[in-house]
Amino acid sequence: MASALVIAGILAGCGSSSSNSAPSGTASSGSAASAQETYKVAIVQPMSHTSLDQIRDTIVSKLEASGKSIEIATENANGDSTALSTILSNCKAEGVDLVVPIATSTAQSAKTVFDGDSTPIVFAAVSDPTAAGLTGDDCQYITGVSNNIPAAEIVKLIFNFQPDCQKIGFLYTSSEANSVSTINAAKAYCDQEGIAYEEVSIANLSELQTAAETLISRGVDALYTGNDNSIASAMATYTDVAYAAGIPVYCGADSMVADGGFATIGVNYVQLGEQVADLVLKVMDGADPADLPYETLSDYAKFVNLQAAGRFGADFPDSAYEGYDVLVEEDGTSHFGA
Amino acid sequence: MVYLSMLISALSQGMLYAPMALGVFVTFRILKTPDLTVDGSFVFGMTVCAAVTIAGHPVLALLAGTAAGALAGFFTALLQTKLRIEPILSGILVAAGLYTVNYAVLGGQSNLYLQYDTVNSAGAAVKAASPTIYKNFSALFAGTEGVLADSNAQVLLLTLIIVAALTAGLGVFFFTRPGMAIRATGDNEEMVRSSSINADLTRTAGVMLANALVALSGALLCQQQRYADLNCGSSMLVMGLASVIIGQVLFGDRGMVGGLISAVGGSLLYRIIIQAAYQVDMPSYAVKLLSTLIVVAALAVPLVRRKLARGQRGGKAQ
Repeated sequence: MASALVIAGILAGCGSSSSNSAPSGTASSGSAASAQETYKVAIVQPMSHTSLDQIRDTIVSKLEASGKSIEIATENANGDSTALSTILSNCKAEGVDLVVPIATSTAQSAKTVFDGDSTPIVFAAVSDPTAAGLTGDDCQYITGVSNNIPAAEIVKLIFNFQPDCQKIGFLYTSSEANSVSTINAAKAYCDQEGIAYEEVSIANLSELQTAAETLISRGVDALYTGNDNSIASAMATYTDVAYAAGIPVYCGADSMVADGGFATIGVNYVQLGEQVADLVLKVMDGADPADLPYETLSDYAKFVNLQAAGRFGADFPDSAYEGYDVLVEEDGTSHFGA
Repeated sequence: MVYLSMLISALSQGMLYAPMALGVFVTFRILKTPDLTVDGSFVFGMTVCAAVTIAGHPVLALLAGTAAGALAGFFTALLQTKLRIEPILSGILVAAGLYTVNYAVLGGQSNLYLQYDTVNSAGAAVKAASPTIYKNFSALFAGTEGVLADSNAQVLLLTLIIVAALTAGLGVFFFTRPGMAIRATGDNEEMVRSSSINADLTRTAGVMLANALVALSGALLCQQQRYADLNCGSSMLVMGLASVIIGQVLFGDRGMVGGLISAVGGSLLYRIIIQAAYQVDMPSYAVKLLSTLIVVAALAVPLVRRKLARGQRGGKAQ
């Protein structure tokens, strides 16, 4: 009995502390406004991670800079997937006006928790909103920004530097789902646009050199590998073979460019956060989420490695490098992670 | 009203995890063997349930998910009894192997939403939400006013019915001959063997039952949240253990049926604690530590209670 009282006491203590103060992590702006006028936004992320934190911080600063009376609560499940629905239920009970779930499962949980409620949901960083169930007929209060890189952008990356490219070579590890899905999308786009390509998949890294040589022998002008963790760990082998033949290697992650790849196009998390904040402001100003289809990124993180360019003897015009950030200088100075 | 809806939300979540707590109770308290298969079998129940739900059979999906958990438990027991691998390691191995299986069940992706392809009235290809037991159940309450209009309250009610039936069934089972044999295996395996009962068989049955319960929990959660995700199994065992121990602390050791009920009660209370922890005004990264401290405090209660009791007796003696 005593123990039951102890627990009840703890709970009562928690309850009272929140009844007269804002939810955890509150950063409120426009304190002069009355409680009714303040627009409550909850940003919920599943765990701490550099890119997720960057999205959150961008949304917070952009909303605060808007000058509107917005009360922002940032919540984090700290990697405990069971806490997501708890956090979101708390947000709902506290009567938030809008919720911003970051990442796929958070957005799906938000949809379930806010089911039958007209609270708008503006998701961030969901790679495939349709597959995630965020675009159906029951999603009229849901919009957001996807972090998917369309295949067209990948192909554009190659044609930006090599407008005369005749044939693209795709190299990937067959067991890596992310890598395979990127390549499949790129292949579908090439089929549609009538662009010739060759592909070779490897089962393990010992086949990498042979695979790269095979593609080169088939006359490809450019090599592309997506965000492939295995190949990312062997960029030196990969680029030695390719650059010796004068073929540039494009890839799906900035880390791969830092390790010797030539150029990449990736998610710009600040841009993503800004687009989400813009959607939040639109909904706040009265736009109906049903009229706002989900967005893809309007700008990407683009990086080049100038040292790599020297290794395969690039002679691209300066104009091709416009909009690209230099990740590795000609002398090998790396800005990666800086 | 705000606190009522938060309480209902915490209770509905706690009820969804209650079968998992029952499963952990079966291994830890009845078989008295730690089983780390839980983190894997929970997700196995979830993924199999998702696949069958999308195929259009929500009730069958729960049974399939439960059976999947039993299968996972079978392999863990096989490693324990036939290969004589340490129980802890057996569980870890099966849970690790299940990662690949779960990945494959989800069709080579980490997240699957319960929806299917269909054609809408305008003739366009769209995705529609797959029916789940919770969706079908809440359809019964369309137009209801009051507490039962809350979707969490509907989830709580339906899950409560399932968990109550489950607890009653287990309560009866553990007093039947096979149930008694499983309990005896946990109490004294040597004695069981010398009574010419096949202890490997009873142990296998116990571990299968436990993981079936855990997987049912995953299956129920899958239908409630309407998606399966490979990351949903993390720290499941810790949660189940905390629930069992909190339940035991609060309700005491009250025999088999009391133990089952207190595991369910512990699961409910654990979710209330977590929900309350997220309500405290502090950065949310601090919640992990706070909830740990609250659980530790709950665990310390029996000792404190004993010391107090001893202190009182001492006082009287003087």
